[in-house]
Amino acid sequence: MKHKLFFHFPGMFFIPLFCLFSCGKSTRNSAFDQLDVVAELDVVAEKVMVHNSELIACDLTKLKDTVEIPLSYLVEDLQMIRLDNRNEALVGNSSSIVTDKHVLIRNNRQNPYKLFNTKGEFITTIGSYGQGPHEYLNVYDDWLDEETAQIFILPWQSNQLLRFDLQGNALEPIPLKYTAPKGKFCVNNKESTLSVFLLPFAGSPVVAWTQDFNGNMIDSIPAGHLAVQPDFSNEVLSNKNTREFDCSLFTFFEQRPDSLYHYNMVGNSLDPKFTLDFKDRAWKIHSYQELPRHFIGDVTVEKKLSDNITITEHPSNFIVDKKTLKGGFYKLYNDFLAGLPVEGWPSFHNGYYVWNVDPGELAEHLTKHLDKSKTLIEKDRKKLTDLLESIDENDNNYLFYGKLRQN
Amino acid sequence: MKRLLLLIIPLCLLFTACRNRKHHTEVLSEAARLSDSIPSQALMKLEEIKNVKRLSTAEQAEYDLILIKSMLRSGNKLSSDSIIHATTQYYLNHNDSAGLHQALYYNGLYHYRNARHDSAVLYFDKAVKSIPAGNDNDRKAGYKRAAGYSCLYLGDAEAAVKTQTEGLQYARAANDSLSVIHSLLSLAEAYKYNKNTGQSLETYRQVLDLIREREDRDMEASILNIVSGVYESDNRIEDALHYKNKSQQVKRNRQEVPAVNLYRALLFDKLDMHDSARHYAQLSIKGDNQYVADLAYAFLSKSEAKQGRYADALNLSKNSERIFNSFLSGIHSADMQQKYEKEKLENENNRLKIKQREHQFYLLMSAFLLLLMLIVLYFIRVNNRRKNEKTAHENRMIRLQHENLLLKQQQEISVLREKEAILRESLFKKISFFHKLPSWNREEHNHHEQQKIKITPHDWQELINGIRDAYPEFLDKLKQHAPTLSDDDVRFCCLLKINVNMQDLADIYCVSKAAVTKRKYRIKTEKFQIADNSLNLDTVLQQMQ
Repeated sequence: MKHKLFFHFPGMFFIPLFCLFSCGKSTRNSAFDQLDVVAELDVVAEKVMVHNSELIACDLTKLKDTVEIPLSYLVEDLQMIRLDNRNEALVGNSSSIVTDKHVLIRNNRQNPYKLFNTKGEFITTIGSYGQGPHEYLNVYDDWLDEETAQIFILPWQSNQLLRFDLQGNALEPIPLKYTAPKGKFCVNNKESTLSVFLLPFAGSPVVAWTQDFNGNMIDSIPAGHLAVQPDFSNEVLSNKNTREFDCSLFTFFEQRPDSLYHYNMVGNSLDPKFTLDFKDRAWKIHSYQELPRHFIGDVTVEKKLSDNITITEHPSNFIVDKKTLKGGFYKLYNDFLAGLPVEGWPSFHNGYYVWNVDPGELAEHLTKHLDKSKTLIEKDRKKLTDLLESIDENDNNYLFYGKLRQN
Repeated sequence: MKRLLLLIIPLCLLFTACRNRKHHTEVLSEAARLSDSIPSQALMKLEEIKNVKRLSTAEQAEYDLILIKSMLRSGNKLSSDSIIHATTQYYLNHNDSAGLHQALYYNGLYHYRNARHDSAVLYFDKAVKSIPAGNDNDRKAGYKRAAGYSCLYLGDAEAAVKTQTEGLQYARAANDSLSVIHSLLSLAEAYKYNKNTGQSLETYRQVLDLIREREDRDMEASILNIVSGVYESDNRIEDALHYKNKSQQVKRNRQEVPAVNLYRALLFDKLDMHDSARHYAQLSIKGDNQYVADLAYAFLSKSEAKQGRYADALNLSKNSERIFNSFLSGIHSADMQQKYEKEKLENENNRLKIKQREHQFYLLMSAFLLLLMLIVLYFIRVNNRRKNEKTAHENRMIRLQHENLLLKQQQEISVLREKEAILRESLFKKISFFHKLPSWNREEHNHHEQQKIKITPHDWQELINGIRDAYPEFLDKLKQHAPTLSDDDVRFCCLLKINVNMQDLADIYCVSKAAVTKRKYRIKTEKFQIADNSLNLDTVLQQMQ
């Protein structure tokens, strides 16, 4: 069920040529210099010191060029897992966590969390849908800790962090000091502390706090100017792709200057690390994410469906290199799969790129790509065709994942 | 030329008619082909024929038949059956069995769709009868199947069985396994409604055998599901479950897994195997199908309540409600999304229409402005022409006036010259010298013999004075033009000036006329230095005033 897709990309042939011409100034592996498409872009940001924190401020007006970035630029390699096909293991296209040994697929309403190993074999369901003990409705954040072999689940509007072992047995939940309407968390098992960054409704005393596993407060950060209107149009974002607890607020209606922070638990501060400066342009819906070597984000345009329903369309994705401060808009394509376009919002979480896809959908993507692409070389076309032929629409979902490049 | 035109025009018309006919034939052929597979596209194809009334009767009947077929097969409603009747009548009148049976069939289908099943049965049977014996058994089987379903709608299951059996015979005669399968399925269903479960199941088994020969796993799984349903309706739950499981083994559809699990749960519940029922119900929840999950929660809640576990029942009931509300809001979102997409399309459509109208408007405006410009230019041109004509006329008038004036002036000058001449003559006549000249005095010297004229110095002086009086600038001009003129030459020139004739000159100078001529010539060439032979001295002197 596991297929390893090697680091195939058409540019391998040109490595020697590129090596001849490279300036050799990058500290990165020279084999990937040719992939550094961002290096061709202009400098779009500057480093600014804000309360002893180095903030990268990106100037929106300088983001002009659009580059096509291969997935291999961000991801080391791509693995493919065909998840266990038994009826009890069927999953939807839910958010997924990948660790060294496990794959955890988030619940889809009544369809509970399901745990697999990295071969795709189904292990167990985790918890169940409901409001009873150890049950959850909508989940906002989760975490699989290999060290302590525990799964942590934080539902919406929750005053406790649910815990399970890797056999699906419920453990004693951790009571939260404050109810989190929406929250992201970070568990420090060594020190038995839990840090939470939540969506601070107006009137909320804190935006982040650290506590012990008994619910006792250690330290907290007041909400202050970060408070938002008390509705669920906003989000809390955290990717945990680095060692830091990165967190940011995504506001839908209230457009305002904001930053991606590192929650400094030791110093009890939110250190701003990245911001997008709109200069004199109107603020648009935007969000930030942190990767090991880059900050990425998007600027979206909203469309109003009705008085109460608004959707977003046409996100423009941008990327900024943390070291060179070069950046621009980008489109991502999966060069491990012969240039298959990466659509929607790709998942970069916990140090991995993950794509959990229904086989029927995958077949559709592949077919469309094979039909539309006129530049596929024979080898790539064959690879995709073989993959397409191996797909059974009645299979369980397939999972593609790869570790994010750290340097 | 006229004859040529009379020949060419009919040829062109004939050619156009032939082309149109060929085009119509092609369109009808293509539409007929599409009506079997994509009836909606067939309808679009038929729209290429702009004027249906121009078709021949046969083509029109074909057009109508394709239209009826495509409308019914694409789910569109025919406003009335008049077109079907007309088409049927045409084929009947023309003994066209191929067209007739189709028209009759679609007539039946029209009534079937409008829930007039007795008429539907009638027309389906007529359709079968109108196909010649031994021909097209496959089609007859199809018509019989449709008639059989109409019988079921009429509640006459026995007639349905009979009709389907006949249909099966036709299908077997056609030697088409797929047709046989469909006929068997229809017959099995008719048996079921006729409460003949045994026969129904036996017939389904025959279908399964045929399907297995074709190795069609999808259809096999589908039939096994149907068989499960038949067993269930006959209260043979264990068999129903058996066939349901078999269906899943043959071909599992992952989308149906939650529903299948729930169905199993219900079957187990009917078998009073509540643990198994609960197990499968819980399994059915752990899928992505909210609708099934809602039903499963409701089922489990009832099950728990029956067991007296009211708290669990309540929780399950709440979950059911949550799921239900969740998919209601999902439906609402989907509905809003659909409305948005529809509005977006409509807006886009309207925007395109507005753009089109704008283009048309700009075109019209441009055309109007162009026309206006042309009109203005025309008027300007006309105006300019009028002005030019007026100016030309005025100029002509002025010119004429000038000419008139000139003429008048010339006239006046002539008169004045005449007067001048007369006055000169009068003046000269007063001078005694002139009396000596015969050419001046015709009355006094009216005798034949010319005598020598004796001119005294006083006479010469009188002449000079007279000349000076009559022609004040003559003498100066003489000196100017011919400064080498002697006095005698001057006197000679004066004589010439007053038109003394050759005889008188000869008499004055006592020379011959030839000598006078020579003298004139000499003075002209030597003194005046005029080489032009066409010009004589008399003329030169007369022109000097």
